[in-house]
Amino acid sequence: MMHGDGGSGSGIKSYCGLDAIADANNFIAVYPDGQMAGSSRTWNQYIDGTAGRPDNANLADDLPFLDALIEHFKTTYGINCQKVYAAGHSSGAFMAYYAAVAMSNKIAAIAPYAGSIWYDTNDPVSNDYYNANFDASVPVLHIHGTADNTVSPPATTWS
Amino acid sequence: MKPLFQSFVLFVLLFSLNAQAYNSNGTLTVNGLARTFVFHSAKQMHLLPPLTCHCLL
Repeated sequence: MMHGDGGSGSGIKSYCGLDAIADANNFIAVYPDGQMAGSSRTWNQYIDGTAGRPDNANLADDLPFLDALIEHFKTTYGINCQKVYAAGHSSGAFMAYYAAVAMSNKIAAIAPYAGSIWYDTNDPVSNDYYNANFDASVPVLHIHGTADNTVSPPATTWS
Repeated sequence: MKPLFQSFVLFVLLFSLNAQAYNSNGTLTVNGLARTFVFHSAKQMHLLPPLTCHCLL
């Protein structure tokens, strides 16, 4: 479960209620910290498979971190790698979408909340990366308030 | 009897751990950056290394 901009793993752990769901359903809930950008944490959720983001060139690529997390819990705790799911709020939701695009062989499904997909169809690098890696087989539970004026709900009819 | 007693003690220990939620944190170094996380498991028994679990069987 990935936090939004300005949040933290421990922060979203404290309020999202996922621990209780993990208790009831026997899974491990992991809350990674995003990387520092100035005085707060964020994610490099821009879909291009590289370091840097259009609004912040200094951000590292976060995919290797998520990949290392999965490997860590696989080797250390023996998790079932067929049942790894990604969720997130706001910026963390964008990152969940990015993980679904770039790591569809490792992410079984995603549940983004109040976020969307961040890539630029006019950016050749971003567009090529998205088209090369997109796998529509990853199930999505998208949760979004229609009155959200921070991240607009996707203008898409979901099917 | 001694191995049986030891197995009983181990079972009681693991059962008591199993009944408790487990919270922890960690750090992974990725491309030179220290990346941190916290996590929660309903049952600490699930967090034992697979080899240990196999040994219990």
